[in-house]
Amino acid sequence: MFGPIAHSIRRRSLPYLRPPRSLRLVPLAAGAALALAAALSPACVAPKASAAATIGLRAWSYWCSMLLGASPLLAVGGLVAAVASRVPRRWNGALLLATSICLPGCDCTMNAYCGELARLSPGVGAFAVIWGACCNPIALVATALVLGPRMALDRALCGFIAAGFTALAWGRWAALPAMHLSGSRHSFWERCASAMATSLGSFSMAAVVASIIISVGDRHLANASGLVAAAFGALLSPCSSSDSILARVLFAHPKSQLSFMLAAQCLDVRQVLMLRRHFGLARTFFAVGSSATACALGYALV
Amino acid sequence: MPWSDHDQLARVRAPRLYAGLAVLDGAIACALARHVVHAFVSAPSWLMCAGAVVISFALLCSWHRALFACWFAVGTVLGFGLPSALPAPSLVVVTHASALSHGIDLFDALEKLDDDPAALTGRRITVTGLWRPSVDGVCAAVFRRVMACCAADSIDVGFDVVPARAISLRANVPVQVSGEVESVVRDGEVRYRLRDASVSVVARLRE
Repeated sequence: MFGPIAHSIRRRSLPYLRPPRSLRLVPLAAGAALALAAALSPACVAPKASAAATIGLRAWSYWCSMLLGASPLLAVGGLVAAVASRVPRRWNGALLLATSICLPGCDCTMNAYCGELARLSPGVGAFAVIWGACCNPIALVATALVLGPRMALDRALCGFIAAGFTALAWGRWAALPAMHLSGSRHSFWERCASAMATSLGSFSMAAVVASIIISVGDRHLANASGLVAAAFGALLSPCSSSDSILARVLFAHPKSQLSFMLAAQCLDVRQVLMLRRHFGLARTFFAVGSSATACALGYALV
Repeated sequence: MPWSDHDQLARVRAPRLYAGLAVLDGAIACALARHVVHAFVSAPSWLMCAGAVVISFALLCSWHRALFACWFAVGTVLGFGLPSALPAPSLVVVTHASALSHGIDLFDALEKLDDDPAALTGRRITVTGLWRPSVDGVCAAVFRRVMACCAADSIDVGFDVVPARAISLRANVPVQVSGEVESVVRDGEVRYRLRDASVSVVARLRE
């Protein structure tokens, strides 16, 4: 049973037993922080250290919560990716487009099967990614219940503009090949595990940003402008099913509410990391530009 | 980046990410066993369990089983470090309704106030929720936590409370608060509070 572990320890060749490069900086940072603390007076360091520890513990709790909350959705996304990789190529596009439009999931699910969307033609892939993230059925229904049918209509219209502009831009200018895992040689469960594992990587990075924002930031945003609301939504990356609730309780003005919801789904850290990983920098740039344009149009529309 | 380089990158990175996935799987199993998972997510236990089973099965079919067992055990140990309750998202509660929760007195009162502030202002109402004592000059409050998915979207919704007489209650104790509704403007925001309030501890909150 322990053959692989003994082998890897003996050979020291398997990369997963070595800490990643980013983690190797942790002891260095801890040493620098200790040296700095020793150089300053305890009366000066103690309150700051206590506040930093409190924020760190809060951020850790929120980060764990986000990963636990995303786990079933990642599993569903992994299964979708595995099924899509087994479907004949001529049915693949229709299946993935229908899944993105109809699946009542959120970015967490799409994160796992986005690699399959990268196999589609640029226009179809772009529309599926942006529309699926912003205007999936549960997001539209929740928006209609919480903020009214008019806001749901505005959201759908802005989502359509963002998805359409992105599809046009990808088809017209971003002619670079999409990046994806070539899954044809993988078995069903290997493709499923690979999709879940890679999506967990980028999702956990987005969760780090969101947990720090929750721990440090204040939620007194009732009179915030559309720009501040959009920035908050982009950094917080909430689920598409819950962004309407947050928009209602946090912001008083409909313009800020719509900006928050659109940015939370089309311009958020989670979405940008996912696009960068699967579609490359050029297409991410065009997608962000198109979504920002749709956000601005939505702000003017409401 | 050319395709072949990315494939190679994915092959190198995947095992590390598999380890992360196995750790998450172990932490979910531990959180379910400790019954603390509802403090972190709104998803039902069966859904969390089903997700953990799919992750386990996929990893067992595509990775070294011994390595999966090791990292799963690491995740289980880390799961014991999960706190049993999440900290409050903000010191100050939000005094506006979330519009999706009906049948709970506190949410219904906020809903009425959002629809027509004159309907309840100046009237005495009774609501139930969890208690938050006054800290650092921030008003005491009665609140309920709204969580649509996970902590990123959790928010404490309720009323500020100005008690009629000094009281000392711990945080998160279930209470019933009766007070007169008034609206105040603070930092340009309209907030609702219950003044001259009487606060009594209740056994449990109706969900």
